[in-house]
Amino acid sequence: MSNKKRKPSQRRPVSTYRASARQEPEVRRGFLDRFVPPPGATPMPRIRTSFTRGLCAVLATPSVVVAIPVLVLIEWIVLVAFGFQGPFALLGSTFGVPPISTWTDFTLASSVFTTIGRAGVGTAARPLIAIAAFLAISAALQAVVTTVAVERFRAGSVTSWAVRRALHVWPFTIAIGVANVGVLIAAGLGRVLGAGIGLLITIAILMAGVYLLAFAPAIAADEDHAIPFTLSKAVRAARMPGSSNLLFAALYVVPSIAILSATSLGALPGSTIDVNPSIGAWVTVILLNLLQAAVVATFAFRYLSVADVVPDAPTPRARR
Amino acid sequence: MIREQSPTIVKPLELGLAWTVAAVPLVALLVLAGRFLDSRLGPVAFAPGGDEEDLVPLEDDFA
Repeated sequence: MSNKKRKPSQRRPVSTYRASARQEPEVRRGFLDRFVPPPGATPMPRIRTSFTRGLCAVLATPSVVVAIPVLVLIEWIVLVAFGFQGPFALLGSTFGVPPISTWTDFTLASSVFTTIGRAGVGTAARPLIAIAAFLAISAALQAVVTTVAVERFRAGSVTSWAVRRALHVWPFTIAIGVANVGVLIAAGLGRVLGAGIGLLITIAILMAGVYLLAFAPAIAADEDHAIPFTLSKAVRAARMPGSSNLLFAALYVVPSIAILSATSLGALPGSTIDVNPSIGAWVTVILLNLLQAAVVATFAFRYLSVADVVPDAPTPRARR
Repeated sequence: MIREQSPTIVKPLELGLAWTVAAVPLVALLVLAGRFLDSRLGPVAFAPGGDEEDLVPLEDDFA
């Protein structure tokens, strides 16, 4: 019995340092701190500063300003050729951030390419193929606007590099669009709960889509990572403490939904069935798309401002 | 009886004219506004630790 070897003692070494080992209690952050951070708590620029920079990046690039009305005209002609009759104001989100642009893609694809009263594989596949095509086009537009903004912020001017780089960013924006299809489906399920709570859940899910994924195109344009890593880094950038990203997502999503609702209620120029939009409708849709592009550039600016401090790997949670 | 043309018939001339009248002056105005804004704001300078140049503590958005 006494032969048994004693286990070596596993006591922790006693510290000779007599000061208290307790750490300072971490200041607990409330839920509302995600919306309105305390002053000086974040390296992320203010929303107003970011939006001014984003708007300036778009306006100061004449090729983007000219491309917006030209592309909207081309899109309208193609849609009318396929039998679309309006409302024209739906095109106001062409340059939007997913899932808002994804929502418009869904609406346009399903209203133009759904054939009622027919059956068959072709009839069923047409809207799906159309949604994929619309997603790819929206992704291309988002990729180009993002790379233009990134080059303007980094180099001060825009060259053909932006277009070449946009080809690299395009698969990323397609992946974001596909992820946002899931967001839209989840948002649609929220409507089951009725007009009140259902609408709130829908808005919350759309906000989550913008909040979590909106930085990904800027990361793809500025850095070289694989798609999964880029998406996870976008989530980390969005969740930076006190960065007001949730507030910014809310400030983007709520007015966007209000504009889409105004279109369906006929309260916006170009929201009636008419294939010949009025001058007011053209001005409205061009300005809306310009603001959408400015928001895309704003997200690029916000990411570039904190690119150095966003961790490449998830930080382990501190034990309480 | 009211004689009214269908809004679903494309009138290329009217469509093109409305687009031109709306887009051309608007684009010119926006480009000018962009030049003005760009010269006012100047180039962006990202600090190495994050954040942009114009952080004025007293001017916080929601303070």
